[in-house]
Amino acid sequence: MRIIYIGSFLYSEDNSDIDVICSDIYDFNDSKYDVISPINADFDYLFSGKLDAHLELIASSGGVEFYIPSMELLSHIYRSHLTSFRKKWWKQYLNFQMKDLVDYYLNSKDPILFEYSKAREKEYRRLSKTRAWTLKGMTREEFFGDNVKYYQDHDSVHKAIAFEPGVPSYTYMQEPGSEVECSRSLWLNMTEQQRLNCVKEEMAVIAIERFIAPLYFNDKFEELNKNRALRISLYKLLTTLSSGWFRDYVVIHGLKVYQELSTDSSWLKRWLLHTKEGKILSY
Amino acid sequence: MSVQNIKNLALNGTVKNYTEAVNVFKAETGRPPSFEEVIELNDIFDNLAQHTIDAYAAEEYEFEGDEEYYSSSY
Repeated sequence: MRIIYIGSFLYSEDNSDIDVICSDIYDFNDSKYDVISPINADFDYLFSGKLDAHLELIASSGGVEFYIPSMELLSHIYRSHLTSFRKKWWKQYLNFQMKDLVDYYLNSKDPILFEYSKAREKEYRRLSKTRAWTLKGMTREEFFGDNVKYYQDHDSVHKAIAFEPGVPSYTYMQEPGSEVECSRSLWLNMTEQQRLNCVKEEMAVIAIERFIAPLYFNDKFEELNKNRALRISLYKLLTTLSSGWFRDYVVIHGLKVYQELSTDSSWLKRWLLHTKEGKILSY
Repeated sequence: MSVQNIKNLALNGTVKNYTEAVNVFKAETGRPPSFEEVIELNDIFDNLAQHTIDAYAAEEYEFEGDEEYYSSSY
């Protein structure tokens, strides 16, 4: 039987909450241990020996082996946790951003780690029935055919809040001739600032369309909580509203974008001004 | 009572959070804040807060509310 420590206590001084993942049922008899349910990918990789180069055996007793993972392996486990709904999703996203875990992830080279984290992500999506959007081949009608009640024209909102005045960043990566599809080669030609602006715009537009505009148009002004709207917007981007190379970028840079949008509400003021001046078309 | 006055109260610790700020605003002006004012009241506490990972983590924020919304595809 294998017990693997995976919690944030591995790199912090807080031992009050210890997350472990076990290959079999084990009674820790200690409330500070939080046993995470293993999924098939864990049995296929973590418990099968395929990842032993990234596991350190720290104790063994009565057929029970205790391991700690390398920081590289831990970064892949944390990233895979961001795929689907968890009440503590935000905490897990912060965990991924902490203690250089992002750097460990970006610098990891062993293909087995990527196989493992992709297998975990795929399984989490299946278990939570979460479908990640892919814009490839999608029409405008399909793009807006979700269950969101839209109040304003999506492209007008983008234009109103654009961080380059009047030029929405998504236009730099829009596949020529396509209604909503984006091009990776065009994305790679964009400057880093244009990419960050693109993520800022997406996060801001999602926050406005799904959480802020409904308050505004239903006279529920006082319920505005800009940061909550931004956190959920980031969550939606990383779970259901993006996939592939764009999501890969948002996973790494999303916190920086959140910080910028949280501390500078000029985007929200631009949206309000354009709304009041009738410059944003109705949906 | 203007938003600037409430900002001063927040700076000296008299008003501690957004909900208190809205309540003070309404009590003093006799009206609810406009949307512009609500944005500014949000900003007061966003500007006072620390924006580090440790500070965010200390908030213990959880996704509350409609679980179906978070787990669905829309």
